[in-house]
Amino acid sequence: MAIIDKRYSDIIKNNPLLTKKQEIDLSRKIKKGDSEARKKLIESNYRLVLSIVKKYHRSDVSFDDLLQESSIGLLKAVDRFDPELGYKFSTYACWWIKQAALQYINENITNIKVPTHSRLLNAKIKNKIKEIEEDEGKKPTLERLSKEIGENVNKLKYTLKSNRYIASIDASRDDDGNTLASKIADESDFINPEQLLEKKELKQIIRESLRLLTAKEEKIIRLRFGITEAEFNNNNFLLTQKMEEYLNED
Amino acid sequence: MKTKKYVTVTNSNGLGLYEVAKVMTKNGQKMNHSTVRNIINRSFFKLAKNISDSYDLEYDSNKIDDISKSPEFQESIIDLLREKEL
Repeated sequence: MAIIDKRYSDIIKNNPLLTKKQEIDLSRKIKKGDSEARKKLIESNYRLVLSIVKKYHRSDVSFDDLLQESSIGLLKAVDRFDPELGYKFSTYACWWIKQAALQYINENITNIKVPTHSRLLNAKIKNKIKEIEEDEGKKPTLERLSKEIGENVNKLKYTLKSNRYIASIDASRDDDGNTLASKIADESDFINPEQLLEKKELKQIIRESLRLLTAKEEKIIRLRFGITEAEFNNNNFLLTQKMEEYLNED
Repeated sequence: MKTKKYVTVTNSNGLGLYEVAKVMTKNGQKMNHSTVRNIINRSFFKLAKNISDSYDLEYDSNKIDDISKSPEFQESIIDLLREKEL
């Protein structure tokens, strides 16, 4: 980070802010294919990138990466800026830089990518909920949010659902590097009483259902799946001598 | 005996459809492998229907048929039948 910072700060130091006239001149040259003018306009606006990145930077996103990605927004702005419209370059560029920064954050903040517009709508919903909660002391209904935001209820539901926070149980949780997964006890052999009861009930139902089978059906299932007499729990059927012979043939 | 075609024996002690048909025929109940298959399907249908009725699940016969033919259902029933405490 220090190296990039140094490089960035050098560029910023060596390239003071441009006047509106200079920006227009450089942009016109860029339109004609002047790469030096392009470089000059880019370097003179790194300051703007840095100020926007500082605003968007958060602890779970790398500052260097965010700076790099936001610079791509600046490059797009330089290539697309039309000096003839009369606006200042920074007015146009800041939107491209913000877009690049937000897109990077959105793509890297979670393991699952959610479209940026959905993230933005989610933030809008959360802000609205907070606002209403502060004013009225209770959470608003989806219908109310729908009216306030101007989106339909289904879209709000879907947005909230897709933007839920997802925690990885393999992510490191403490200084020792222990993960949530390592702290969860192995319960592979554990059956809770409710499950045990459900299983017993199911077995009872199956036992009753088996009585519906005719002797022939029962016999065929037993032969087919190799279930022994005891397992089948039915004393009416005995392993026939012929079947034993047949099984012993091989 | 013909080579096994669509036989899936889920346990090393179990017999294929042809073998089951042969045993049943030897026992005096003449049948071929298709009959064995049909009887097995019918039996699992009965079990699935009774289980769904017991849980008040209002499934139609097509749904019950699908369930009864699914390997997951059949394997679960067989696993439960094999458990000693049953």
